[in-house]
Amino acid sequence: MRYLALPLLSQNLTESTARAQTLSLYLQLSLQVSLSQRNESTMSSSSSSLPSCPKKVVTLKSSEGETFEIEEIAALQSKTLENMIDENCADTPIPLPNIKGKILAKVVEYCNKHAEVGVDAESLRAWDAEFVNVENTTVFDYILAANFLEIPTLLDLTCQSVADMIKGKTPAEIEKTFNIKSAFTPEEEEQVRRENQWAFE
Amino acid sequence: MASFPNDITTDILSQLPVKSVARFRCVCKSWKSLLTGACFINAHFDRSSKYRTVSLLKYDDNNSSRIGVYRPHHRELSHLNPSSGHPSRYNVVDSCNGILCLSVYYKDKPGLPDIFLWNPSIHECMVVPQHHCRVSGLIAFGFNPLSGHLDDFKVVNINFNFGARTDCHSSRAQIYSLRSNSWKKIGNVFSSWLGRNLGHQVIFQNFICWGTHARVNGQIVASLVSFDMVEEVFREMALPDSMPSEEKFITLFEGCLSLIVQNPSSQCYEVWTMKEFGVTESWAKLYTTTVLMDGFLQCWPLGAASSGEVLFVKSFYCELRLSLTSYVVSYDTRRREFEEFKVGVEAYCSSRLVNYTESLVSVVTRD
Repeated sequence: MRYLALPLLSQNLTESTARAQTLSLYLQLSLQVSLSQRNESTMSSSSSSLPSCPKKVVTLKSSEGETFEIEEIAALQSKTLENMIDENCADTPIPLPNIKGKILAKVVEYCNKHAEVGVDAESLRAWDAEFVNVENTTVFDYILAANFLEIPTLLDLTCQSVADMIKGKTPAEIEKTFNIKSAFTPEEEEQVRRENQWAFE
Repeated sequence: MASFPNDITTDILSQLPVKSVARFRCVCKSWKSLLTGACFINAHFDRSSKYRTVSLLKYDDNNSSRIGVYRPHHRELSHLNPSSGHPSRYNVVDSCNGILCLSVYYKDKPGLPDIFLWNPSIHECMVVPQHHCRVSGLIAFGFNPLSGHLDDFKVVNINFNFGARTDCHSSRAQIYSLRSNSWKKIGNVFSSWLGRNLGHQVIFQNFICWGTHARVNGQIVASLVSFDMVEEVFREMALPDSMPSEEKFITLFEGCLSLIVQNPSSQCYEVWTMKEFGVTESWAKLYTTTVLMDGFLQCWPLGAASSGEVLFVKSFYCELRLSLTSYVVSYDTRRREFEEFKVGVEAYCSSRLVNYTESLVSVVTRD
């Protein structure tokens, strides 16, 4: 059995680079899987030979290596996962090096909930509201995960909740919330405040 | 800490009201740059038009003009504050992309009004430079949606010369562009007998539209006049024979070009809508109201609010005070009854209803 040289995934990846690397890693892995299947052996030690089960499941692997299972139907909410499923790259665990286990678990929970049938709009809205009723840092992590996995409903929900949360804040509070450094000189700050004075009244 | 890509930051911040956005320009240099850029202003306006469109009611009271936000099921208006450099008494030509076009006529300078472009959301007001021709009262306002710039505003001025004989009518139009800050002539217009009764304008897609009628040889002839902001030409559109030929008031009803029409036989107003723009046969009567045109209470339509109610000005002559008292009232076309809303105004002719969407579009800073 050939061993793949896994590329070193650095901490400071941008979303698109991480996605591209993951996809390319994926394609290589799936090629190995289809080659091995012909020899009737599999790459991954954790899964057994593929059974013919009715519910297809996708396995996701967090940045710390923890695995989470998600039904294919729920995974389709993520355009990224949908593309992988379409290209038959989703038969082995999909590594998501940018997403921590704690966050990935919740994202899976979100997708499962939104794939459920027979939930009325009102209770789904209430569930969504509870979902984002968490610390800011967690909501920010949800946003990054939803952006990476391309889950439009989760991205809309989380962006709106951040917008609602910051609506009435002062610039100083915004700097604190997003850990931003002002970088204005005192004169520049004075000028921009003057130009927008009416917004502070 | 989370550092979002720009498109996510734009996604979040474009949901905020204008006041918050202006405040957040003071957060840091990169936010200032993002929040003053044309790309963000467009994204923000897109969202604004979906969720934050209201109706503004302009009226005169005690010799000064006021503008209030009309909200359905509310008894009163919440008023807009004037900005500095803002005239105290004016007419509202129309509203477009968050900008209101105002005209002010002065007794000592007849025929030379001041024209203002005002963004009440960001408190910016500018005066359109004077042009040398006399104005006979028609100023039109719109923007070119195909140029890709939200601030590609145009002000059209039409001069009519009414000769003594009917064949001496002529007209000339000139157009001002904010982006080039200059006027230019656009030549002859249309049979100017139509110009006598153009009334208020409405902006629909890339057209400025007016409903008009005139008595020609004892017959009432009515049509729709439009000015194409892209091709800068005027066109006339016939109205269907099935529509009563009395006076018509143009408005936008549920996003479609509509006319509030007087039906002489029932003495009530009707709401007609053109389902397909430019197609005369697509005019259809949507509602018959129970609002009487005449009688003890004079009743004139201002137009439809963005929430669907039709606003009217009801006037009655008060014998005690020997004066005409007027109120703006709101009529629900589905429930066929008046709402509790009532605002005292000076007169019908100085009242105006326009749809408004708040925006960050600047008329002052040019890039």
